[in-house]
Amino acid sequence: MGLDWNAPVDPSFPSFADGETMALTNQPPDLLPGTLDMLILRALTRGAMHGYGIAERLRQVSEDVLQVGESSLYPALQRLLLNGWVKAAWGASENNRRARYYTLTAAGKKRLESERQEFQKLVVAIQRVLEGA
Amino acid sequence: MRRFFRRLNYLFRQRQREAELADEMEAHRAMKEADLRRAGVQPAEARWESRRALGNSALACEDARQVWLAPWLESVWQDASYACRMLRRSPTFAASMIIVTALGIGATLGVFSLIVGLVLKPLPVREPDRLVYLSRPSFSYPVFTELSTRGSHIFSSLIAWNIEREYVQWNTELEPTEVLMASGAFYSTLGVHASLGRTFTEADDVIGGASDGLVAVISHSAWQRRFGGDPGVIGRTIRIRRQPFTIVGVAPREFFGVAPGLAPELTIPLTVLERERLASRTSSWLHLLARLDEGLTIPEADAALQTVWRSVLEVTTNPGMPAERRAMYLSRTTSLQSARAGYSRVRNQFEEPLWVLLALVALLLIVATASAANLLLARGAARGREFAVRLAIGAGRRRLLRQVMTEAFVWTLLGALAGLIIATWTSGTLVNMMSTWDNPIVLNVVPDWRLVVSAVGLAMLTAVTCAILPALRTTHVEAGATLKEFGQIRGRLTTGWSSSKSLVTVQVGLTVLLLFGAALFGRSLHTILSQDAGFTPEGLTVVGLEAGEAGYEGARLTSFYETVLERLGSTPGVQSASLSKYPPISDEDGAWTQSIGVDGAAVQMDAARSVHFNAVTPGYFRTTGMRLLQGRDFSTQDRVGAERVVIVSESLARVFFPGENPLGRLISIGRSESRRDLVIVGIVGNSKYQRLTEPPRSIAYLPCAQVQDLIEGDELFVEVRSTSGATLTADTIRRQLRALDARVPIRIQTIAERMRASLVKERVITTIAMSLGVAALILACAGVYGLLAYIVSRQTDEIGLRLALGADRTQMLWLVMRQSLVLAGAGILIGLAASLALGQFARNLLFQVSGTDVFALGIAAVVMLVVALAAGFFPARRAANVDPLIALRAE
Repeated sequence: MGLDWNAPVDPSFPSFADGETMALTNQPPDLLPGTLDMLILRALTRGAMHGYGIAERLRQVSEDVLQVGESSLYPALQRLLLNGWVKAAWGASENNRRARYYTLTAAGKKRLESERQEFQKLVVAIQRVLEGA
Repeated sequence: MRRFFRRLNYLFRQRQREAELADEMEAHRAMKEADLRRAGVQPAEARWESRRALGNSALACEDARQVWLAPWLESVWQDASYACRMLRRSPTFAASMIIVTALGIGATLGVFSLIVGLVLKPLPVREPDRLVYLSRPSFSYPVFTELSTRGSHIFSSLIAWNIEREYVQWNTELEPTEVLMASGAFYSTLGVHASLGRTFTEADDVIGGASDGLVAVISHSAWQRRFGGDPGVIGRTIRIRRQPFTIVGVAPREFFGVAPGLAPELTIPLTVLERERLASRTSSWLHLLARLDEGLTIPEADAALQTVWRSVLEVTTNPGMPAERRAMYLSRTTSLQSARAGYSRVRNQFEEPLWVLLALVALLLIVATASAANLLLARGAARGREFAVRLAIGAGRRRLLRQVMTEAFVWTLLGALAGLIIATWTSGTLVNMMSTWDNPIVLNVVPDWRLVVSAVGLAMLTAVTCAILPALRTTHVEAGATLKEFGQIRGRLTTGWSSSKSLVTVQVGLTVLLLFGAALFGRSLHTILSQDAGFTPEGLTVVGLEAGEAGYEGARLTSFYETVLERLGSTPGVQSASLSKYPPISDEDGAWTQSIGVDGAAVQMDAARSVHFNAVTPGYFRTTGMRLLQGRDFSTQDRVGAERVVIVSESLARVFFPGENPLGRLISIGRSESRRDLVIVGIVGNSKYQRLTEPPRSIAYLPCAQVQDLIEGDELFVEVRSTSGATLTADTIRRQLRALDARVPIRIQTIAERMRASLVKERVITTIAMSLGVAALILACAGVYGLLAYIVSRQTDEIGLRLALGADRTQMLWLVMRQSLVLAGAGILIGLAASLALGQFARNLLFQVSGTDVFALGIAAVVMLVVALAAGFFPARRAANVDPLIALRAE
């Protein structure tokens, strides 16, 4: 559930729509930092992207479900840089703005694979518990 | 790890990176805003929305920074800068910590760097691990050539070398210079190339030289010192033994030869000078060094050597050798040792004392660490409140511990850096002390990266050791209790044991151990010096003359020396002069030993019947002050053609003629045709021959005139006794001799100087041990004083209370002194126990003093006790002078 872009919103009041309670800022579903890293790496498999691009991509593909505060993207990107899973380079964006582009490295690809497998195992395990126990 | 380096990278460019991140996030926001505007949102609205979507960018920046700077890195940096700030705020504390650490670490590093340079450092040559030397120190030239052929499957290359002092004419004057004589393959075996010109090769190592004539290579330092680094030095001529040598090359800067501690300025091929020695099968004057064949390990090579060694010996025996002698020759063994660090007499002489010294210095380091720990403890108690507050607002105990450790490390690191300076000074001083005129020691002890790394390592070790106890104690603070009652840490004046007290006790114990060492070596040296040398050292000067160098030989040589004696004998201020082959206390000038036969019996090759010989002129005994016990001195009648005579020492008479009168009896030297029978005409008192530390020797004196063939060509020594009261200077003697013939090289030393030089090893170790003892004593004294002063200051209120309740001031004094006594007593007991246990290790270095010398133990204990009591006296006096009114008012 995202904010309705087409209607102006008064910032001082919490808005209510369709009987759903919403706080001033949306509470996204809890996302572990490791998972966020994995998603960013996945997003980068399509090619180099800058931070905004990654955020938009994640939002689009997940159909607005995953909306991390866009600023939490940046600590995650720094973490990926520290571990050598992505590389960063300054370049020109679509509207000729200066933006920093992130590329997946070989180590990053490997990391993505292993994280994917781990996540898969986790999901399967949770499902089993929910259905079976 | 790559991550660590990325972090470091970030650290260096932190500000730039953070600015970039802020830019990036701003660009992100701008893109979002643009998108929103495109979607139709109002500009102001879009801007606000984009900002909201981005979320808390300040927090993001913070988190990003946290990713890079691991939390511990940041807090360590914080602690370190706090420690530095504290340096400025409490300079005395900082200064004490730094001085104490510098002393301990500096002294240790100084001795250690000397050990590294002399004992451990590999030679600056190609693959030093493949080099070996033969352990029997010297060999003859025939053995060398034989082994070269027979050992070709063991060694890829074998070289022979020797370092001798020669008189070299660099410019116009003859100068004594250390010259390295090496076989032709020397440089190629070591893999050393000249830095200028060329080195010599096997082609140059032939008698008379090759196409370039006689060639020489000079050392880098000689090139700098004597020729100012002039490239035109190639082709210059110098003279050795009046033969011209052409300088063909300069060695690389870091190459000093194969003998650590010696740095010969000149290297010449082996065969060019010493023709007679090359052929001699009996003269063992060469050291052998080899590079092992590929793939051989040292034990394998050693085994292979043993199989060929016997045949090498058999081929090189003297054909005319009698059977007994031959058997002895063939039984000489040798083995291969690693020559990675070269081979040198200096090392053999000083290695053991240096290790002992290292042990002593390590003790000092421990004492210094204990002092540092005590300082930290005291400091920690003063900061109790600060830690209590921090604990109360949520700091983890581990965090506080880390802080104390980091601070300690900052101080010890600064101390270690200061210690590097002390280390350089220490090793330089040690080298100076170990060098004598006869044996100059050249060692490069400039700190290199290895030393710096050890300094840092030691600093860390010291920090951890000295900080761990105070850290644990300090951070174990009951926050609540301390905040309420700080300033009134309860504890009684006569309280039991505390860690501070244990530390001070340990300090005292170690100081006693060091004092014991100092006393031991001091006593040993004193015993050596107070021995009866057998002659009168005062007023005696020794002049070494090598007339052979200036071209004298045969009859001219004899008359020259006679003229010298006359001239010196008639110089004002000279009581008498004489000549001898070996001077009293010959030390490095060598010794002449031979076996003798008694009363016409054959000469036995028996070590127990080996006698020291010397050749002297008439008047020798009078000049040196030796006692003539029986018979007569030599006279001018004892010359060639007359009866062969000999004068023997007391112990020779006792050993070879027990209970009888030896006058008139015969002793003989030499075998078969070279045998001489000598008539004993006099007995003199015992005297020291080579060193002051030698056991009593049997000595026989021969008249110079009758043994000229044996002594010709060598350096001879003139003993000059000055008349009592007159001061005879070396210059006077030099002037007299120069007037005779300025070309003859001379060296002048008083007997006192000779004796000092012969005891260099003992003097060095004694001086160091005493310095260490004094240093430790100061540290321990400060420790005792500091602790007691601290206790008294904390207990002023209790003292005031006691005084108010009627206690006597003397009782207060005694209360504190008793503490001091207990501390000192416990420490002294520990120290004495350690001394008894460890004293035996110094046995080899002591002269007629046992490792458990009671006198030394007593001195150490008494000195420590007195100093400790004196240190305790001042706080005790302060305690006694407490004004109860003032003390209680503060309650």
